[in-house]
Amino acid sequence: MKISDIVFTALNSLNRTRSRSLLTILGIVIGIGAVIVMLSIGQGAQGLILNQVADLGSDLIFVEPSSGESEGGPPSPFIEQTVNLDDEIAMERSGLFSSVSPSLYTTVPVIFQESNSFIQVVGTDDEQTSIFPADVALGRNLEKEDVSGNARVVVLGKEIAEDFFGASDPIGQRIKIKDLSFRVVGVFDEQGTRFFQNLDKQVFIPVTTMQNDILGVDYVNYLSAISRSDIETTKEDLAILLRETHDIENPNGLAEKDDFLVSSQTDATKTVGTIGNVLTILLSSIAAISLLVGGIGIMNIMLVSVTERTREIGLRKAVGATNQEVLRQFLIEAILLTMLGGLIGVIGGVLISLAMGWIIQNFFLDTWSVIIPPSAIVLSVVVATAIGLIFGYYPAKSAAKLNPIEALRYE
Amino acid sequence: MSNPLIHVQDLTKLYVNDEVTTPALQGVSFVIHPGEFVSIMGPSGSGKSTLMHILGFLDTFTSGSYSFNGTDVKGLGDVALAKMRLNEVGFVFQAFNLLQKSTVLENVLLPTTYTEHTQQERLRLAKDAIESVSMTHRMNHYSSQLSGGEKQRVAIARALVNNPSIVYADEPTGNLDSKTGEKVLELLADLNDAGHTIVMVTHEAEAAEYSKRILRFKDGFLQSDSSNGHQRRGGYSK
Ligand SMILES: Nc1ncnc2c1ncn2[C@@H]1O[C@H](COP(=O)(O)OP(=O)(O)OP(=O)(O)O)[C@@H](O)[C@H]1O
Ligand SMILES: [Mg+2]
Repeated sequence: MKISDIVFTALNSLNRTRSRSLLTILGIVIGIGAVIVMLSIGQGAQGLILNQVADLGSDLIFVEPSSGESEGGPPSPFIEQTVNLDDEIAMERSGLFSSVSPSLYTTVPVIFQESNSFIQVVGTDDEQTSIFPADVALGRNLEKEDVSGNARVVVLGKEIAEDFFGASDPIGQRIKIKDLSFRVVGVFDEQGTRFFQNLDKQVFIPVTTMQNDILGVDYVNYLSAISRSDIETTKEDLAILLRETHDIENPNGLAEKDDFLVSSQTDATKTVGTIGNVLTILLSSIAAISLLVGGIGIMNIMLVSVTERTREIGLRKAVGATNQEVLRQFLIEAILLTMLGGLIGVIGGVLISLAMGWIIQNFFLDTWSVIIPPSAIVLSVVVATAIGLIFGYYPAKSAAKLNPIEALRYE
Repeated sequence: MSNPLIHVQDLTKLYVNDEVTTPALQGVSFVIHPGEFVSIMGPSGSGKSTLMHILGFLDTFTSGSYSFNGTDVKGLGDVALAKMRLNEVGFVFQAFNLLQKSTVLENVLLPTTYTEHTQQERLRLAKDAIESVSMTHRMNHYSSQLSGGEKQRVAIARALVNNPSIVYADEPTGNLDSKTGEKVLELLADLNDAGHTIVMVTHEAEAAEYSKRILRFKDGFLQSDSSNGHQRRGGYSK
């Protein structure tokens, strides 16, 4: 029997049980579709993060508070309070850095005339823009004197300026941040997102004003700095410096641990890579499970099909089909089922990925790029076919083994 | 006389199930030549179907010898037996065994799909076979829509489609009323006239009348082998 005949025969019998066949492959469709969507989103997110991190430059160093347990990465949960402006001063004096800048966040009501909304306020200083370059569109940036003088001045992100002031000139206007009156001194040009935060929707005030007037604290969330020389040496020197200022003599002892964490862009990249790997493993196992379940579904329905068609199988053998030919027919039916499932899954997955990408681009992050790895598509089809082969073999074998006389007698 | 098509010698078949051994055939010997129309008769359980399955390469035998067209069947493997079923024999069953959800044409095409013929040749073979049982007008009907007699005619067409050396029919009229049965027997006699060798199992003496020779079985033994001098032909009433 020619392969084209087998395929034709298989298609024919699948067509006779069309709705059941379609329901059967649903498991495969969902499994493969999910793989495509997850891979696409995973790659998109990873690409996004890596792009952002890469944009920041390789000489960037972060100091964040830590309980000494964490392994590094981008600035993370602001639970600890062990990093403060004294550390900034020590870092500036060390001469290891060309710029050092603090960041301290809060989200509070910001009011201008009738407009009132919760906005993320960043306490920082003039050097922030030397580390994370940003253009001033109107007025001026924060200045050293604003920080030393505890000044009630604010520089607005672009979207905030538009929301509050529209076309009119915000410079010199007064807005209320947590009931305190601030004078608008500048507006940043569009900055986009960093670490998933939309900088255009933030406002920037002197870190001292933030500490003293708004939050009443003396720590910062993290310090950012640009290293002058080799980043790994700088990190080591910085750790020694910070242990001195924090009075930590033996960071490896039981009693004492570093209460800060020094990390760099390279670490961040590694972490993202690790997150990516973990994500991939996780998604792969989900995919594997759904495909396994789908495969068992296929096996089940093929066994049902073999039982239902016992007489047909007996007849085929009685008119001259060899065991091989019967085996191949049922195997190809199973493979066609799973391949069809894979194909629908791929098409569905690609469509959903495109749709989700479009939504993310238009409503959340315009820097998002839709990546559908062609390898994922090829892999999906290969995997689907393999599932048909593996889970179809046992039912096909049991069909081929049938004794034609008994099969014909089967009721 | 021509070389025998079928030559069985001391053929025995034992069914062994657990501890019970059933002797279905106990040393049967006979010869069938091309062009014969043989009826096999005997009470229920006498081994008729067992013999047909062995002659049709669907079952193996316990001892003795069976040669088909000079080929010793004992030595044939699974694939060779399948090829014998494909090319040398056509089977007609009491229960028709048509694929219900397939058309007449598809049913008759079924055995050709296992041959090396092109699609065109297959179609021609199937249409010829359907023509020979006068079912051309129902070619595209589903077999579930046919009457019993029509079904058996389609089954006969399917048995003929690969131009077999012999047609085996195991109680082909068993599921039909006598009038419809007569038409089927008439068809088999016509096919025999056209040169086909036919072996038919039947319970009914009237059916056996259509054949030229009758083998009678009892308890797995061949009891008698007689020629039918007054072969009945034609003239059935509508
Ligand atoms: N698969 C089997 N296993 C065990 N015994 C069997 C099997 N098939 C048939 N037999 C036995 O072999 C003997 C012959 O059976 P067979 O079917 O050949 O009879 P038959 O002449 O065709 O009868 P009927 O006219 O009722 O069709 C019977 O005793 C039967 O019970
Ligand atoms: Mg019988």
